[in-house]
Amino acid sequence: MRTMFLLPNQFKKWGAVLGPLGLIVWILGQIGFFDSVLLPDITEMYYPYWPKVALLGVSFFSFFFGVYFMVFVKEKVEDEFIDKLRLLSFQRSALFQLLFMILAFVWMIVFGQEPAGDAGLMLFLIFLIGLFWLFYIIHFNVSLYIMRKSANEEFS
Amino acid sequence: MKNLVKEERQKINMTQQELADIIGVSRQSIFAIETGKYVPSAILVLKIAQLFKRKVEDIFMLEMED
Repeated sequence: MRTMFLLPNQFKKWGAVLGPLGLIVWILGQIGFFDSVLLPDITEMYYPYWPKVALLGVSFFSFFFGVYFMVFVKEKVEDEFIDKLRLLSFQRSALFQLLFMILAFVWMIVFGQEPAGDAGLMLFLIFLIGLFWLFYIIHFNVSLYIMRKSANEEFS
Repeated sequence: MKNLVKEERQKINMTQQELADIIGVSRQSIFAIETGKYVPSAILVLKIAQLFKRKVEDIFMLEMED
């Protein structure tokens, strides 16, 4: 199997910076951390809301592209072993996501804690998608790190 | 499937990195093959056998559970 649509290796560094930074800024923006700067006078009826929207938009898409760069990027040496590791990570991520989803729905039914309205359900489903990619990135990179570490120990 | 890649490599004083460079894979792939963590494809098996000037079955052997 040859994994297609992979970006050059240098995108990995961009992804490692953009992804976490975008997520942190987006979360801080959502909880109103920057409101004192971006929304100076909220007592007015038509206060300028666009700086906050712009910040949230830019940070969200930074996170989105950061994740994309981290997932779909070539390793320095892209060979069949890396392909196999990538496939294994995809499979385990899918399984993990499925298990998490089943457990979450069981939890909701047993404890009667459903997401609040359509927006809550949508947020939950988006979270599930994010969880899949997060688990994939962690699984793939940790597996690769362990293998490199073992190879280096044998080499030294 | 067990293999004698490490033994064959050491016979000709070749490092994992040199072997990896010649057959076009990473060093961790060679490590994974030598330790039995990864079973290589037919293409890679043939490349390794050609490099060591041996038959495939002299380097790679099936085990009972295969």
